[in-house]
Amino acid sequence: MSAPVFQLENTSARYGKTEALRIDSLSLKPGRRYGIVGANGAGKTTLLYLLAGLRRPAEGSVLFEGKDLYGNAARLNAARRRVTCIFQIPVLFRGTVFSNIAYPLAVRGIPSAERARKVSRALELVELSGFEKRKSDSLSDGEKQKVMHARALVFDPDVLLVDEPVVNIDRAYRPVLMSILSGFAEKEGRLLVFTSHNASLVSRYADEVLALDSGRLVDSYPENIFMAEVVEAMEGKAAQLPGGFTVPLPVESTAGEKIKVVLSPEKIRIERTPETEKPSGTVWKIESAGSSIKLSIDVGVQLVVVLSADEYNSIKLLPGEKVSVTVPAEAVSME
Amino acid sequence: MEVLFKGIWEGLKLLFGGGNEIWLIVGVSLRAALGGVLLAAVFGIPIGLLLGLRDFRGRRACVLIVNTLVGLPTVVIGLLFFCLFSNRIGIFSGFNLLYSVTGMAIALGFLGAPLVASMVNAAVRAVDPAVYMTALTLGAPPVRASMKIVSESWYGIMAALIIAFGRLVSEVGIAAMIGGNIRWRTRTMTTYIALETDKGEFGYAIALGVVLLAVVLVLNVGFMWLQSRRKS
Repeated sequence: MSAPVFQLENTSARYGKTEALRIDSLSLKPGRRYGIVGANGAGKTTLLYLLAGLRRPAEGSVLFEGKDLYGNAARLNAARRRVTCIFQIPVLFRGTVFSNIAYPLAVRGIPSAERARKVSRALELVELSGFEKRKSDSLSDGEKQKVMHARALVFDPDVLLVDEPVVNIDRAYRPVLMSILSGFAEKEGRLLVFTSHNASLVSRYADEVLALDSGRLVDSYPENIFMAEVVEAMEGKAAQLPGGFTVPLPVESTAGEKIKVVLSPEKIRIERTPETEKPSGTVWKIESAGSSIKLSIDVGVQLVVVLSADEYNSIKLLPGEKVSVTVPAEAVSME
Repeated sequence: MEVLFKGIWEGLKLLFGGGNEIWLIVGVSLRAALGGVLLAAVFGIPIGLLLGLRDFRGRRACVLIVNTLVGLPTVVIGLLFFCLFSNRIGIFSGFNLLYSVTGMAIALGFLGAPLVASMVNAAVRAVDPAVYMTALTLGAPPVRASMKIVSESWYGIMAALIIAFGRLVSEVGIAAMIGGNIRWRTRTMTTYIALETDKGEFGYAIALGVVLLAVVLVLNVGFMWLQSRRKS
């Protein structure tokens, strides 16, 4: 069993008098992909900053390979050369794409010929070949995000921390980026920690999910809670979930209003989609949950559906199968 | 109005055919102002960077002091340095700095340093703090990460030096008190304009006014060129 890369014991972080994070105990092991899920203000980014050596804990310790990360300046600087963090908001330096990606290589004293080769390879990885001479301020947010990923990967760090990896990335490129990040952790001794609001993304790409709620680790992230927008539908007003999937509304609301809806996993109905119909989702995970079966279905967001064993045996779905999902009004409540 | 046009005409004749004195005066002004900017940069940039990059106890008080010194009347600085350089009471009397271009440059440096420090502090603070964090997380040690902020605020620092030069080259109180407006030695454009205006000799005054404006204009054109080059 390999030793943990990070260990947090009774660790807290504060912003002024407000406690943003309190973790009693947490170990992050090498070769693993950890996904941190939680709502805004849950402490996801603060946890990444603690691990990245960018925010000193108010209490407790952050151990990096068994030693206090914040113990002394030399140790902190040495750790920062092996641990890197990609922020949610694109931050590029003035200058060209090349100078941005070459920066961590220059910091490490890599010779210029090797720098050029590594930068070119990193750009190829994020599908931005030929962008070397482009000015950083001429890029779109999505391109900036890709450059940030290339810049973080170019020097081959041991630990990669990514805050909301796909937030500015176009939909088509998201799986590519996530597989690059997943592939990062496959090399021996590497560790990937990423955050997301999107529970389905986290569940899909993480080996282990850490759920944060109000700065504390919780056993599981509440399922089927979504921020939705009220839209006009054929049958009247409906709530549109982030991926575009709509559910009926139990109460009258105004179009355009942002609401929080909770879908009861036991009341959602699914059936194998007939070939003539367009499916509304894909089954990607099936788990046993006591006497019930829990299915995770991608409908643009992750929907959790709980079936009794008998119900499941009657349809016998497998991961990857297309399904039609019906959410009746009685399955929907508003918070 | 007629006096003004006549003055401009006389001024141009003096500039381009009036002998060496005008250009000597221009040279003295530029030397004093450039020397002052150099000193202001040597002291003002590090102070500005310290205030901009570090959060230490008493930082706000330091910023307040620096910003207050920006508004210090030039005659007060002139008086202070007159006392310091004076043969009778000054602790620097042995250096013969009174009524010298070097003395003027030192006093002008004292005037410019708070301005440079204040503007550099503002320029550095305007850089997104995430730049520093990004540099750190890419493996840069803190000093190198700070340098990244400096390079990101390079424009603001250049602007601080150009504005300081504009302020120093057009300064009159210190130039008069420390330089003494001595012909062929410490006479500057501003002291000469004041003198000639007192005498009712508008020709020289306007000629030097034109030169003074041209100097500031050239500076601004240069700055705009740098800006456009950086953007392209």
